[in-house]
Amino acid sequence: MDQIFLQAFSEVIREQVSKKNKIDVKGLGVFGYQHRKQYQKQYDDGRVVMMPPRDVITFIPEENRYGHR
Amino acid sequence: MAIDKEKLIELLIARTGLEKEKVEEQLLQLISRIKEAAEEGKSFQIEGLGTFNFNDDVLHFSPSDTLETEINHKYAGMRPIELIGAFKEAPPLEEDKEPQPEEEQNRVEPEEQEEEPVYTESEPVSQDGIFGEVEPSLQDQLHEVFGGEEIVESQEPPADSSDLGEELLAATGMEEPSEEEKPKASFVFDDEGFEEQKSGLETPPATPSANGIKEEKKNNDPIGTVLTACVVVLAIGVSGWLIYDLGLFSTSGSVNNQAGFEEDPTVQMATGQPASNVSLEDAMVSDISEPEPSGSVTAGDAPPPPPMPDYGLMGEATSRGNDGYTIVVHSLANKSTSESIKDRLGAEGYRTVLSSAVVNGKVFWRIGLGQFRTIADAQQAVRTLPAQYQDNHFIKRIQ
Repeated sequence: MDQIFLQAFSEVIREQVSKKNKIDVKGLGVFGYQHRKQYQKQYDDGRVVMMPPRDVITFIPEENRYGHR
Repeated sequence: MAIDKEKLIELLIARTGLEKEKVEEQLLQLISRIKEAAEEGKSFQIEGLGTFNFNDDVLHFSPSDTLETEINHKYAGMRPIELIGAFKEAPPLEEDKEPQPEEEQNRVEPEEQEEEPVYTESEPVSQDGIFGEVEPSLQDQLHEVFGGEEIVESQEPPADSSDLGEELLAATGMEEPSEEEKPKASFVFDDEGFEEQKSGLETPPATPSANGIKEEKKNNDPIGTVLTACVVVLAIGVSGWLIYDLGLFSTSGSVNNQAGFEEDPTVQMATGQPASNVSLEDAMVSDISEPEPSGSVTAGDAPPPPPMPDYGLMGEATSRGNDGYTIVVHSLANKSTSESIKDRLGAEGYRTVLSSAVVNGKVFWRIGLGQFRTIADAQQAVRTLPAQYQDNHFIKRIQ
């Protein structure tokens, strides 16, 4: 496998996810973008904190999508 | 927008510059390598992208730190904010149960799976201090150290602020106060109670808080604040009235000065007009009178005094009349010209007075008409002078 191809694959995925596009890689899964809102969270000692929002990259494997496994 | 396989291959071709068949072959090879590694239980890492691994028969992808930060660049560096007012009592722990790992509550989006350092929970910070709940393990240690009675105290429900005194007593192992003193020993915001606790038990951390409460009580006195404001307003009003009144006094003082002006022996001037515009009937007299610094003359309200032999506009000048005032109608630098004008005016019957004055280092000879006891007399006499002197003269004290 070519190193140039691996680097290009990585860059394309990063670029498209940054643009909030979904990338469907046949046989592997779907890369996507998701925004998670802020939310309240309580620790065991009773303290309540507000968790900050964040943007994450998601991956849904193909087996999950089609229920193969 | 969704990027399908065809679009992905186009993007890869544009990125690598390889042929389409080559790119398709490389992509298939990559997918098969990932699956093979995953099925063997190994993880497959692509530098700059992330790691693929098999977990519970499901292919997982963990993005690399670089990619994660790049995607989350808008919120990078944000930390959880503690909501002080939203503190909730922790649910009571059963003694038989081991403390469970962190449990997320009030979760809006429960699909978060990976744990970041930011979101990992640390041990509860001991910011609650002695007010916090005693853990079971700590209870056991207390039991070993202090014995049965103290552990009964420590096993009571979680102490709030009002039970601090008892808890402190229990923790330090000192004797409890008698039943009568117990209410006073409690940690209440009462001065007497605080003093009692201080005498019974030295608790340095409690001292500043009690003092702070005392100070707040002093500062929150509304009646005192209103009284202070009233006093300040009154003070401002009185001072303003005094300032206004003093201003009036100063004005009246100047009036008094003007009233006492007649007794001022300094030189006074009636109109302040320079004598240079005086036109003489005699063409031989061509000297021009220079302007002089002059004062001002105020009019008196006194009626004209009866004619006195020593004073008057006409006649001969007397030595006794030199203590009065005269009407200066000429002021010349040339003495001989002044004397000639004096003689001419004397010939016309005027009582003339010749005097000298130094103005700016230069000597001027002043020709005055008449001798008057007061300025008012002089002013009265000015009306009888020829028109050329009506507006060009000043009144001065002779000596």
